[in-house]
Amino acid sequence: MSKGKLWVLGNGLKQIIHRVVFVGACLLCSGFFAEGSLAKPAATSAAKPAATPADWLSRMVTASASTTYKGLFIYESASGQMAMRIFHTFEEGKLRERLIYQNGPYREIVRYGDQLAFIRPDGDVSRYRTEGVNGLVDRLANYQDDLRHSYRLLFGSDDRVAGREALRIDIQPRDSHRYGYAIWIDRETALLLRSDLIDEKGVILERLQYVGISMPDKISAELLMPSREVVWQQAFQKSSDQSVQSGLAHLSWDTGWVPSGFKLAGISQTDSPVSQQKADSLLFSDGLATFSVFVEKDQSRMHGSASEQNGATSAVSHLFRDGEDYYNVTVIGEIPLGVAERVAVSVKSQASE
Amino acid sequence: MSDTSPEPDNSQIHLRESLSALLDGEANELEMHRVLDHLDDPEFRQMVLSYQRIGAAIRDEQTPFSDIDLSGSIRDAIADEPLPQNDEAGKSTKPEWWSALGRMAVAASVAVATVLGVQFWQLANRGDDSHFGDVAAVSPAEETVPSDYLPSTDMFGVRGLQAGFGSEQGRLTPEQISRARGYVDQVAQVRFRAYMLEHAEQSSAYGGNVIPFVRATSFEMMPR
Repeated sequence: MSKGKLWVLGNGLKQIIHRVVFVGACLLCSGFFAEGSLAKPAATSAAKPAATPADWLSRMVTASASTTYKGLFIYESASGQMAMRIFHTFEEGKLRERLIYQNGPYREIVRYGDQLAFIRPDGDVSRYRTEGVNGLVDRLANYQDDLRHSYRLLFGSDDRVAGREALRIDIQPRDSHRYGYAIWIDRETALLLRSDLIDEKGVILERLQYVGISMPDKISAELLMPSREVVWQQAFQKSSDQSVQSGLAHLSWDTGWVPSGFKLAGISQTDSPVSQQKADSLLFSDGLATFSVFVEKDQSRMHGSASEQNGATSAVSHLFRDGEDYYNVTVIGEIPLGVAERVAVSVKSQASE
Repeated sequence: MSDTSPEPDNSQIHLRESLSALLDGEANELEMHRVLDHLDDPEFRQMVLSYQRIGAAIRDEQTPFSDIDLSGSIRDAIADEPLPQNDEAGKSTKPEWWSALGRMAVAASVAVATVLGVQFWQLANRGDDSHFGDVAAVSPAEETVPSDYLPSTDMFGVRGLQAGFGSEQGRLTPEQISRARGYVDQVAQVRFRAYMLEHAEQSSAYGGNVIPFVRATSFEMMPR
């Protein structure tokens, strides 16, 4: 079959991308310090004055929560690149968003409020809902402080992305427990136009970049309509902070080491994909990067330590023992693999303390 | 996650085939997701567990146990890291699936995994499969390994290797060990895929943007 050929082609392409990314990273590094040392007051010339890079980040968060836009962007990572079309608007105060994959098999992501559905090429619809997590907009008050604790925020140069004037902001990690970012923000609307995620060697792990974007007053209903029927839940009970506390009290295990700056951002339970057990899950965030810790009782004894890395995402699976019981802990997130491993091995049962 | 689309008539057949492929370590991404998406259904979940209980070892007829040096074969198995490949033309979806994984580099299924898997295998080969999902049924096997040798929480799989010297395990063939390892890898992959989406969904909500979800779905069925 032609698959072998395609694979070879894919490999070649990957190498080219890798080279491009590497060259890009070198350019980025050489520009980094020069730009970083010239903290630009020019940013204040925007329509709404915003004095610091952190202010711009806050504006960016608010902008996406209040602006209607549509566009096309390219997402690149270690596993390749793809183009997506996005429609983003609000209906009765609730976010309505539709993303359509432009390459490969037809896939679609639809968001409605805090619910999310993924339509697969065979027509299967997976629906997700979010529990125990407060949206970023709710947390804006502490957002800037959280960020500054873990990152240095610097103005970069003026640039153009998707044909629009963009302001670049470099977000440098203060330690090796997280990755760095460079983001490009639209000067007019403060929408995110491009985002690069950069590892400690300066290699770009993933990039999202708009190639075209517009901000119409309104997006027609048919453009927002999913290609398959999605049944949204009518009333969804969002966990409050109180339930986060009671959720924590029910855990039979503790996270041991957590990298500095990462705070508990959410707690929930999910069905284990490999057993009838429920898995506890904790979400941690430092303001930009997040990782999740999943812990479930493991009766099958079929599992061991394994790890993998794909672009920005690290995943570690590890087993720990509590008396006669075995537990599997899985750590997944946009953190370096070594950090994820350290988190995974330090999870232990509360009884063992 | 739940399926909200109307089911085609033969979806049950597809589902069973997908499950069977998954447990044989031959599932492609689509098949794996088909299985994952149906785990909400208690009946299907029960079926998954009963299939799991049966296990690859039972499908593999009882081979005469050879006297092998297990410590060596585990080392070899680890050194021999290439993931199971399937060259049969009829099952062409698999190489694509594994090649995708190759990029993600399943770094290692450490020996502790094999060893714990091996206990499962031993038990299965004894024909004691009736209560296999129960903890009680598993515990006899545990007694065969001194508790000192069981994996500790303070090390990353390293100490678990010693459990390979447990007397019970000398009876396993390299094929069984490699089967166990393949299965363990697949289970880890199932977890990673499912939890990656879970993580993405939560961080999408937390960060207020959809990038995490784009990220998580990007290496599913990435065009090449």
